[in-house]
Amino acid sequence: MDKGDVLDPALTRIEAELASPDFRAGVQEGKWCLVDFKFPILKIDINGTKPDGTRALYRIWFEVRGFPGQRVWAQQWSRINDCAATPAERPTGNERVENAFRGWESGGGIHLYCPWEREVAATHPNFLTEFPEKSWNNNRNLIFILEELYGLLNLNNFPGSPR
Amino acid sequence: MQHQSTIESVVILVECAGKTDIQEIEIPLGSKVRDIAIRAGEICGIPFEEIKIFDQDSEVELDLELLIDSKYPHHHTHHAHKQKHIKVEVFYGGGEHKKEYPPTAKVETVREWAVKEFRIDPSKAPKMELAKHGTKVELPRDARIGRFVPPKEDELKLDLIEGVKPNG
Repeated sequence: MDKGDVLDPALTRIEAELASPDFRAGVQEGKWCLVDFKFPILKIDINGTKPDGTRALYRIWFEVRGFPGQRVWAQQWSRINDCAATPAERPTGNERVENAFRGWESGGGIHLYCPWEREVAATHPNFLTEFPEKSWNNNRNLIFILEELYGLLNLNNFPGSPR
Repeated sequence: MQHQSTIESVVILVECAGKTDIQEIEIPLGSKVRDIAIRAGEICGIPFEEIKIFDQDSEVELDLELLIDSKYPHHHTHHAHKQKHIKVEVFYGGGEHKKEYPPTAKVETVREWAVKEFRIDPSKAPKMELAKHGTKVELPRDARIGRFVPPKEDELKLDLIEGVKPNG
């Protein structure tokens, strides 16, 4: 970037969040780690639990233009081929994680099926009133999204969960 | 901006009672845990003498005289709370159960206990979550309960609810 270029506020905001104590605590605790951030594309690996109880990393691709005023576009990303994750790479087990990572297609792209996600929110306006605690609002931040995803990806880490 | 500790100081991440954001406390090497308590007390708004400092997953508070030297696990997230124990009360189906937990106990630990106490069917158990009493705000299973208890309180009331599965 040249001197004199005006920094995009979304870029500044994401950089600040990646430097925040909350994000760093999650990294230190092994919950997630930054893979790459070349605005407007952010990639983060999140540590999850497979149905057999073993651990696995799941890569999430975010497009963050307009963040936080505009919701993020989020999809699972392949850690092998650097493209959208294949069905074989999607997490399985608990029905809620399978629901969120079903590879939902809309608007010409693939999206995580979560109320806070850009395309999901745009096509399901009822989610804002039905699931306000899962929807995006002005008080949310990147950590909200990462904690939601970490929670989903570790629903298998529970006695009695599908094995 | 880097957050590497210098030779002279360390940066410790601290989760303070009732604060949803983790706080960053930088203190000189050679300080004591007491110095973390002093800074945490300022953040929580209570006298440091009343603050207990816990190391990450520990249920036992740290000795305030413990020296913070180069071998100290400063990379662990610490927890600051006034209480040694939180009185947790969980409601479900018209009933309730109570138990005490340290502030560092994870929501998941409480959830597993509540599922057993209320004898939730094993097929339904994975779907159950804990939410703040009277709300549908599910608590992250990996979060420590101290985060949800304001500094001057010692109780946490929760509802056991079925987790949300959006579908449109």
